[in-house]
Amino acid sequence: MITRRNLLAGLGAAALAPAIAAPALAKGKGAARVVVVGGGFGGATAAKYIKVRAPEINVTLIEPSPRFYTCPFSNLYLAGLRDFETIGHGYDELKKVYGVKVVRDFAQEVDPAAKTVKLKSGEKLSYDKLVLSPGIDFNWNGLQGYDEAASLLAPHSWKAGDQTRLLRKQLEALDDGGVFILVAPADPYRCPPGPYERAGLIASYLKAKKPKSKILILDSKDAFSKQGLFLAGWKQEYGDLIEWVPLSKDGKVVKVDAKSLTVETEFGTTHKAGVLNVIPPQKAGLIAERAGVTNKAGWVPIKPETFESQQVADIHVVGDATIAAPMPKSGFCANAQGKVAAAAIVASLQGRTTPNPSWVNTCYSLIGPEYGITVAGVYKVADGKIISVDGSGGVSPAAAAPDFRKREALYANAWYQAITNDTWGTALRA
Amino acid sequence: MRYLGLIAGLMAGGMFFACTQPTLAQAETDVSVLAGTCTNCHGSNKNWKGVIPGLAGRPEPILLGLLKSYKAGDPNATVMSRIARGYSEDDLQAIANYYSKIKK
Ligand SMILES: Cc1cc2nc3c(=O)[nH]c(=O)nc-3n(C[C@H](O)[C@H](O)[C@H](O)COP(=O)(O)OP(=O)(O)OC[C@H]3O[C@@H](n4cnc5c(N)ncnc54)[C@H](O)[C@@H]3O)c2cc1C
Repeated sequence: MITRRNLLAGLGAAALAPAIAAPALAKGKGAARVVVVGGGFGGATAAKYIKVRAPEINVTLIEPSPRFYTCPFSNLYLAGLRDFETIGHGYDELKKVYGVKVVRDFAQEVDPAAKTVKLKSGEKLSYDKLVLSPGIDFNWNGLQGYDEAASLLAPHSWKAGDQTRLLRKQLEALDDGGVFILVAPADPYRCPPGPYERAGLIASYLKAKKPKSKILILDSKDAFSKQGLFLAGWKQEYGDLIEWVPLSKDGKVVKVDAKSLTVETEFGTTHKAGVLNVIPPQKAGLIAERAGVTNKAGWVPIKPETFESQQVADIHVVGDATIAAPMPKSGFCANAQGKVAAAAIVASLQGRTTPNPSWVNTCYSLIGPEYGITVAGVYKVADGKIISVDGSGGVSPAAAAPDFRKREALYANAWYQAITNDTWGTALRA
Repeated sequence: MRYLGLIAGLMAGGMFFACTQPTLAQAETDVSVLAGTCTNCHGSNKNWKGVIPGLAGRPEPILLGLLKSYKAGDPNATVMSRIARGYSEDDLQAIANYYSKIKK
């Protein structure tokens, strides 16, 4: 049972947010209805924080999976440093503590004129405000030869779940002396430092278990997030185990043959892998396209103050699906955007002015289990655009002592525990 | 110090919002939005016990002192100095006040 009292008891900061009647909707219309599509970092956070701010609003979260497995820390699982279930989170607290109605289904259509969402089951839900946080989908065949069938042989593991387990199995079966090839995409894509964290953590596994093996990163770009720190860290921890081939050195893969585990680059070089991990080009999750909120490139332009779609009224989109640069496509940002959208939606339903938005991002990456690095940013809106606040943010110092790296690794773990608790309320007790 | 007024309003309960003008041209700075992002690392449960400490109910002068020293470039900080530099002194004051008012 949700009562005002136990709701507050479960909360920290947000407990201060007042719960008041909704003047804009109270008059004869009944409680306002918000439908949230997607129970990942952005959607679960938005659903929870709408309830925190205004328990009287009806919030329904649509999510097909009973449990959400996070991409953050999936690289630790791949390296054999975590059990799979430690990256899984359920929806019980959202239901029981916060009073979110969770519907296990898949949203198939949005009718923005009628303000309804049609689910796979055939059920139709009406909304006053809709939040979409569907994450990414892949541009199958955007990279020649790489489609859904190919992903069963050469997994992307860029959505956590079966794909992550498959890649782990393949790594376990890799011969000592085999080559792990990681194909990294051009910008923009989910989690800019993700491929490089993956390479480092898999290197820690190979170094310990299969020291004759190699990692080859074939990259469609010439620069990447925290590049200097990654390159220096890899060298220090793994010597020549990891080789990074940038765009300008013929790193761009143009064709994949998943059956033979070979890839072909722009200038015709072929590489054969023992394990092939292809991170393909991406776009906003399909439901965003169905709702008519995507642009030609497949991403969602938003109004920065509220994360409402620029194209369709009363549909707010948060997380990886959006164009929110300079904010990266990270779980941290999806959560932060979910909170800003929640505040804006509640204000609008209560007939109040939109509060000024404010966001932070910190992306922790591990080079090894005790070697962490970060990039951070503080963001605000100026002249109708999201900007990094002057003088804020940046990466970990290049010349930090081992103790500093160790503390950042420790904080990476603490961050994971806190953000998963903030999002789903189910952080693991360490 | 517009934040402090806001906080006082929040503390007084829902009445605060009844007094705001929906017609204001300028968006209000709502300290709960400003401070909301901290919980991604510091936890949102009141009695959060993590390696990164919880903030709720810690004395305002202590929180403010820490935030100011991060902003000044505390060499012991890892990421907090890079974050604190993104806020004005008034922002930091508002955030410290906000968290200190939440009872543990
Ligand atoms: C290897 C890797 C490591 C990463 N590490 C980090 C990290 O350390 N820190 C960090 O901050 N970020 C990290 N990220 C990025 C992070 O995973 C994403 O930025 C984050 O998940 C985005 O949140 P989201 O809400 O947009 O999408 P998601 O979290 O992917 O959630 C989308 C949800 O929507 C559901 N959904 C989609 N379509 C529908 C539909 N039509 N109907 C109903 N439900 C639907 C899906 O089932 C899913 O549950 C990492 C990513 C990868 C790949």
